[in-house]
Amino acid sequence: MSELTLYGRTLTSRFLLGTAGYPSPEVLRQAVLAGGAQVLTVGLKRSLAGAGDNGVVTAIRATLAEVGGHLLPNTAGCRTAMEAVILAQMARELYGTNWIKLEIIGDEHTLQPDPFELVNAAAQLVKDGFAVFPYCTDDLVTCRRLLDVGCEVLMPWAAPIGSGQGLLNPFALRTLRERLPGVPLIVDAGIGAPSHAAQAMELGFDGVLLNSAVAQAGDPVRMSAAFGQAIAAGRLGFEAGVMARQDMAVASTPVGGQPFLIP
Amino acid sequence: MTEFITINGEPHPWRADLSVDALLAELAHAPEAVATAVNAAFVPRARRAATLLRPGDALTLIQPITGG
Repeated sequence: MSELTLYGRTLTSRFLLGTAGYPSPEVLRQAVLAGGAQVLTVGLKRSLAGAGDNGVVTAIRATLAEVGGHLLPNTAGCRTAMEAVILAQMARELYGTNWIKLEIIGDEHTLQPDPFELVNAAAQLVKDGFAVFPYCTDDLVTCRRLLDVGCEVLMPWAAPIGSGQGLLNPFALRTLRERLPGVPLIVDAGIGAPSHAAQAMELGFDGVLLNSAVAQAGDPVRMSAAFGQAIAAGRLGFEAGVMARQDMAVASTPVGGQPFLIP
Repeated sequence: MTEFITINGEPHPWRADLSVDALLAELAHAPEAVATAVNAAFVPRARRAATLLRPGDALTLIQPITGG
């Protein structure tokens, strides 16, 4: 399997994993090690006086050091470009990285990204030196606008966040892959099962970012391992070249004359 | 009459010459444990000592958390 380069950082794994909702920091650590994820997303919250995070983020940093990975802070909860830009600036200082998963929600029920605010915020953040990972829809023109303002990676959804529905619109994702060759594309959100991740990778996507599918699994550690294998298998299948579909049967066994003559 | 600022939306008594830096120390926040914004403008760590709060200012404190 080939390596993946995101904003100049080369990764051997194509698995990006969220850190929310695990039974314990140790389960999260074991899940990361089992699946081989090298990018871990983290968030930001309004803090209460004197309250810490119970060492969870310190544990995440330690796990990342073990796997040679990278933190990806997000701007979850933002509704406007202005909010997202300020939160990104705060994230850069808190986490010590210019990587930012830009998430700006435009609809409460679907948590669908707001493409207008997203492009606006991405433009400002790129100018300010951020490596922007926009969480976006699978709309081709929105993706083009994000590239126009300087995003080098795109993260289209497969389905609404946390829904586990898998690839709802494979046509749109396939179109993105065909129309944006060479752009690192990461499916973010909506993945429920390892087969969904494999399907995205077989389409030629460069990576998969998920959280709930592992955190909410009966056994997060084994599920993370399953995703790691599915992502690697899907990528290998893509690189090997999946055969073309045929409408009708095409015999696989070579037939050199009939062995029996049936009158 | 006591004047107030808000910290993440909650009222907090204001006093003259109160810097962001000094307020964080009073609240027992380690300087590197939070990021700060005043009236929706980011205040980098290096500028906290020189940033004086005025009555009615809205201070936002953000800390790391898990996320997807």
